[in-house]
Amino acid sequence: MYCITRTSLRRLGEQWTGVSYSQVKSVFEYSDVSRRGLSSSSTTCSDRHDDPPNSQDNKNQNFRRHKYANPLQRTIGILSDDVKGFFFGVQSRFPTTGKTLDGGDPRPEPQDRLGEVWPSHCDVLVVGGGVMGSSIAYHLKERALQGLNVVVVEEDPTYTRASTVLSVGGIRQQFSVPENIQLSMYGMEFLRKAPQLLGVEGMDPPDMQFNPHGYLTLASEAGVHQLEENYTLQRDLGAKVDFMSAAQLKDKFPWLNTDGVEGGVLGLENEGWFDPWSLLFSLRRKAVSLGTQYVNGRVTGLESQILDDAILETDYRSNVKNLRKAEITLANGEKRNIHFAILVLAAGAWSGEIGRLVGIGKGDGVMAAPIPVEPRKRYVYCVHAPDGPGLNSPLVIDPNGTYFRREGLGGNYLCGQSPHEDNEPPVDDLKVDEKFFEDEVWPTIANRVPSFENLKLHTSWAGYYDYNTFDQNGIIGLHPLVSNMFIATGFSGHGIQQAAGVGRAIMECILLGEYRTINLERLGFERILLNEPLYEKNIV
Amino acid sequence: MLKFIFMNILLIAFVKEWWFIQISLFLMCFIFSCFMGHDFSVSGLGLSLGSDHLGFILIMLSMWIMALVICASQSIKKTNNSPSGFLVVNLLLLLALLLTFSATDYLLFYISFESSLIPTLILILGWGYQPERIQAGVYMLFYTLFASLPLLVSLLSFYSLGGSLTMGLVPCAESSNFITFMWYFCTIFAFVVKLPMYLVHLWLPKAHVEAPVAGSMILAGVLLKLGGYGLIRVLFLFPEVNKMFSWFWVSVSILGGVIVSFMCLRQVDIKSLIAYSSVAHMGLVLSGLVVFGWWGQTGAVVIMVGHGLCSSGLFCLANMVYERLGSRSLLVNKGLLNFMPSLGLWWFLLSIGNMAAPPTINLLGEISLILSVVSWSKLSMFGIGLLSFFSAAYTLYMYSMSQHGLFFNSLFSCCSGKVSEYLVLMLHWLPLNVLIVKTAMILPSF
Repeated sequence: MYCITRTSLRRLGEQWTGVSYSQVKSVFEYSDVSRRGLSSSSTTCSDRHDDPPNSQDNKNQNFRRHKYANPLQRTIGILSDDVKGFFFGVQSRFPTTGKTLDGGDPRPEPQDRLGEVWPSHCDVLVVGGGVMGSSIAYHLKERALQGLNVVVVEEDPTYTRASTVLSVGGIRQQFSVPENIQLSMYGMEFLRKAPQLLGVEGMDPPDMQFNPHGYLTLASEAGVHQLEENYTLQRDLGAKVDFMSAAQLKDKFPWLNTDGVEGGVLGLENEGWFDPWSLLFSLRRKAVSLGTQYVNGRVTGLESQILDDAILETDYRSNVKNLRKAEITLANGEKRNIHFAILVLAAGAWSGEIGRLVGIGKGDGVMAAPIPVEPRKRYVYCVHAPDGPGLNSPLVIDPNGTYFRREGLGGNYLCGQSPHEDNEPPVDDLKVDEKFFEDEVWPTIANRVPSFENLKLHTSWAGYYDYNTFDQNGIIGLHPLVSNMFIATGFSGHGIQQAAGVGRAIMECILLGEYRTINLERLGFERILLNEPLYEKNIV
Repeated sequence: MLKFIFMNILLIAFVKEWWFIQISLFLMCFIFSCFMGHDFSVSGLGLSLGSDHLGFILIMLSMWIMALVICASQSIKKTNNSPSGFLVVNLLLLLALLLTFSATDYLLFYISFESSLIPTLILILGWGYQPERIQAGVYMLFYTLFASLPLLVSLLSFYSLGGSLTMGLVPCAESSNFITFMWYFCTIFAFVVKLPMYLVHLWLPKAHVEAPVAGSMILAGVLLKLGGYGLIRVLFLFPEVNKMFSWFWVSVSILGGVIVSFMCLRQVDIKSLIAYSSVAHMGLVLSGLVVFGWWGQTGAVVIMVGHGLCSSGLFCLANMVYERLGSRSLLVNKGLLNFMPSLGLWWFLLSIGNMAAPPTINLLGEISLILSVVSWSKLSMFGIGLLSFFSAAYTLYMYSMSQHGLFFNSLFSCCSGKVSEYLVLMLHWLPLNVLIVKTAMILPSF
């Protein structure tokens, strides 16, 4: 009786799902057992399926259908999917490791046959899966664990255009706005603790490849006063920086040409550069292992409800909006919806566009002010200078804004410059202008470091800054007229070092209702409406 | 009784107008209470239907909750998510419930008991949020189906033994040997899973979390009472075996209730918290029922009515918050007093109802149950004491976490309750608190 039931059940399962049970291999046959936890509720193990995919491999996530014609069909559809899931569920515990043991081609992954469950409802929707979005997702999930359902929508899972991976990866405390200094200090603390905080069970702990060689901000006579002020502020806030005169600089860095330099501030600790791809990747992996779901798609629509009894009166009476639904266009063109409670806008250079989807930037009164973030292209040049400064070189910032830093141990250096306002390169693509290097960058660094005279341009790339056209500092916080949208963008080039701090700040805003550790109220969206820019006092 | 069945069936023809169904359901409640405003112990007999006091109170409860469900599900009408289909499903569910509570024949009772599952399943999976995420439908379906098949077998055995399945004419199983024990277990198990008792309760939180508000209200309000009602109808058939094995049910349900109360304190989803609190309450109900004294059975019925109103009201409240905020997580829904102060009144009133504060009928029921179970065994004092204490603890936790504290968006307030929402909540709260002055209306007189 038992055998008959078992056989008939097996035949039924095979017929219904199209997979023969003899193809399922037992776990002991694998030489490399998957590290995914065997229980369906395990969230601590992640494996290669959770990694961001390679460009050719599996770009399309396969989701189950979630739109049915009427509720009755939905009932039947869900029930049959659930029952099929019982048959598949046994197989999906032991995914193939690439090739079957007899050398044949791998079967399609069992999960793909049924598809992932489309997250039609979630608590927090993070738009943008770069370092900001992943840091926010990580901090939220780490604090809330199963209490919040976090979904991150990332348009490009290979991060070809994201500012994060194309950045130079520096971290410094040498700012003039106290919030920036505090955010970077926490960023450094986070990088230090990253192997414990971002370690995923069963995988290697992340290695940020942090080079602690510091930043050296040089000032000419016109700017040395501002440099001293900044230096005092930085010391007050606990940054480990040192003010050096031209003579001390010449002494410490013999390769430096101190003509026109009155003084400089060198970061002694907690400053340097690291690998931004590592940070992004480990944040994303940890967020996924804690239960975040990453969706590959673009937000193409945001629907809101008007709260008709909550009115903001300024010059105009405006009704407050409450965002409820996002329309996501997947890679294969399909459009699906996600209902959410809180939206976090961390879309980097494209945040202005997403703001316009909500209506920020169109309309009158408070809604007329757009999110002033737009992409600005910045070039990074990798040069090879065999007689260059060597190991004893921090990231040097020239008084006119040009910077360079050592890259690796082979005599390579990264350098670049922010072009003038009227000289901004076009942002349609990421093509590099080498003329800019020859005209603007090389003369400056060759002047500052004479041994850069005989360098050779090795490679170059371009990346976008999420440039805040208002005051070039981040915008963090709620929008006054949209009740549940948090903005975390506009960092204009210093986002990578502030990602950890901003992630924690947004987490505190959402979970605790206020800033607990670093008070970022001055960086809110209100300053744009009040026209009170918070400028970094740059050194000339 | 047939007139109400017909009224229900004919209402299905009018589902195109939402307001008509709303009004008719309230009308049905009113007519039914007039119909039963007499002193006979059984009435409305005919065609295997009939209602006595126990049936009366539960039919009233189911019609009342159904009317409130339709009032509370306005969002389905607003978003046009097939509202007429929704009404049809609800009316079919009400039909199944009416038949169950008014059946005087065990087979009719069983058939309608089982058929109430199908509209519930369609309600949860068709209009629910994301049921495939945690397989809510499968759990509910298979748990209840698996447990109630033995019930059919045992009813058929009664038929072959006694020649009739009419309630009251079925002979009791006098002996207390092994076969009678298996018979007893098969009969009881279906209701125990439906209640639910602690070890077989997993389907309830899953079903509640993914159900729409209508599904949650009906599930907590009435469907769990099917288990209790069935137990009352069926327990007296096994006097000897029940006496031998009631200790098992009491222990599991009381201790299970305590454990589930601990789990309540760890929940982050409001609906999940209320669902687990239902398990704790029903654990107390089960223990009172199997103790089989007058106090126990009466207290169980009173708690069933009170819990139906209270939990249904709390689910309604949770849904009001969900409609405004979009999330059921307690981590997002905090500081609601800043945000919706007037709704805080209803949160408070229904929360204290949940923890059996006077003058709710929950208090009467809980006191009766404590009396009966403690008189049955003094050792159960510890369990019941912990159960009562922690029910207050998790209710306070839920109230305090959701209402007090900082809201994540301290910029402004929100619609603090529309009149229709106040109406629904008031209609939950009023019977809960006012019925205590005429408890003869809800006490089943055995």
